[in-house]
Amino acid sequence: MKEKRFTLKIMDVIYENEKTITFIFKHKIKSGPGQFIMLSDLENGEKPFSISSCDGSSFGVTMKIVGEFTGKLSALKPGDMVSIRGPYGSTFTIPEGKRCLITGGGCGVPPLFFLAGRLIERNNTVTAVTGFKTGSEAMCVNEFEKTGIRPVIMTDDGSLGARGTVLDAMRDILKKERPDMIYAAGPEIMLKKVMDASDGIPCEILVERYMKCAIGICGQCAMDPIGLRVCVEGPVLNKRAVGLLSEFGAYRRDASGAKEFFCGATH
Amino acid sequence: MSKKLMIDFLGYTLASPLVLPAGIMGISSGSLARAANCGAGLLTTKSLSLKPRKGHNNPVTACFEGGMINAMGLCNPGIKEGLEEVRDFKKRIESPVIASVFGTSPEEFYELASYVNKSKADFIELNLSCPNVLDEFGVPLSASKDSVYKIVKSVKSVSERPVIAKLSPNVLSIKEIAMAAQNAGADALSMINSLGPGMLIDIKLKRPVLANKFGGVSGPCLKPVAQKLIYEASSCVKIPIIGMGGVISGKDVIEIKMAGATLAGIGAGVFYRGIEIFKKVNREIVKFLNEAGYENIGEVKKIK
Repeated sequence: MKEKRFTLKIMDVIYENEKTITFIFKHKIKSGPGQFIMLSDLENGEKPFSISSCDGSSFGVTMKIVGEFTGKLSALKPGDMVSIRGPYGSTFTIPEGKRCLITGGGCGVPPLFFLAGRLIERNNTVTAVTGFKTGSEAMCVNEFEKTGIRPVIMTDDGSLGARGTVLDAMRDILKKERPDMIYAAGPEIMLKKVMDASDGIPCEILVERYMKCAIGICGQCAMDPIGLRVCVEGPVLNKRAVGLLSEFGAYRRDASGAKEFFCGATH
Repeated sequence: MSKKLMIDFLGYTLASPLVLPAGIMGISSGSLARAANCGAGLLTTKSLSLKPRKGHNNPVTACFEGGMINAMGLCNPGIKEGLEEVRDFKKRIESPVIASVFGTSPEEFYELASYVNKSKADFIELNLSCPNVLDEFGVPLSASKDSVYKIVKSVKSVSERPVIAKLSPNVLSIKEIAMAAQNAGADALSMINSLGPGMLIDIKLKRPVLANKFGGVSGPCLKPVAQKLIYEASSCVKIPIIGMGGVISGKDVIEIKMAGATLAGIGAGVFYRGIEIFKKVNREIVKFLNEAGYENIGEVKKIK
């Protein structure tokens, strides 16, 4: 195995909303939806970001500006360079001619937009539900519409779309139709609820963990009790894999490797 | 696993001579379980310190043609939590575990050993040789035979577990250091830790690739250095050696054993051949033993 590191110029910076930006790179990579890259300015850190678009000649990553590192990245302009490793990890399964339900919360939405495009290419029927805290944090709405999908938008405060959660919308949809496949990305507690509500329908989710090496040797992102490495066997996991993970929905690990229990999780 | 792979080490019979070294995979009970299920006969935790450490900022790893450099920076959740992971592991799997510990003085190592006494870990390994915390702690302890002697002596005075000293390749005389560890009562040596540290530069960004600038060198390029140092150390000490450095195939295991090691650690190899490397290498060893007419791995001895 070889490491795939390259240094690329940012071709375009798209401001999705006040707190979310997308970098576009004019570079051909072979990637499937769900995969991620490690992106670094070699000055302030390096973090994994899901690929949010990828075609024959360019790809993009979308990030929420949440901390010091992403704050520094948000100051970068077209023409600036960053170091990129990847793509790494597993991809969502792309069936053919099926009915697919996509559910995304917050930062989980951009990789699902990439997924939606690939699903449509293979003649799948796609219904998308996206949820945000508030309307000003919504993202990818226009991008979804460009692919011909009109996402159901849910916000906690009702400032955009309907008031409620992704789960509320998903339950309504499941009452009316039974998709062949459900996909989800977003906060882990949401992912757990989507899985629980999926009622025997095959389901794939995108799991996030703190990452360091991203090449499967440091153990930082390994999940208990089987040591599943999110950077190699993940980040896309199916129901069977998730069923083996006592850690899922319960805790994750910080940079030191100490457990951090999710709010509301039983332990 | 094949009986031919079984080997005795400090009173234990291991199912395989392959060791998961400190710092690879072993941050959680799940990780240790994964390596055990993949065929490692002995598992080492990440180096545990008295207090939790977040380690260095990312990027912490970078690859080059001959191997990789890394500067994890001794991230660990602290000795208490770390040993709880060993406890959780032992509830499910019987394989023996080495608790690797990292301190800065004989007193700290003494305290760490007291924790290990109360744990489910089978061995204690003293990380005297991390090359990635020079800014914080100065030259690694294993650079001086006096500090190696003092620390091993201090740990031996309290430890109820066999004591393994992990040595650095970055020394003028490995013989002196190995002798110092043995004279202080070490039960085994583990060598070599990563080399250097080294450095890699991104020519477009004009910056070092690692956030820590420097990182220990590991991978295939380390093999000849490891074999030479193990050969030298094993020529002057009687205690067994866990050999590591560039081991990625069954042939490498045979080579490092012929250099004088009893067991062989696989670290960077997990990147090159996947976590299944332990299974693959076990198979390759058995194939070699069959073809060369050995009954078992224990018959592969140090060359002259």
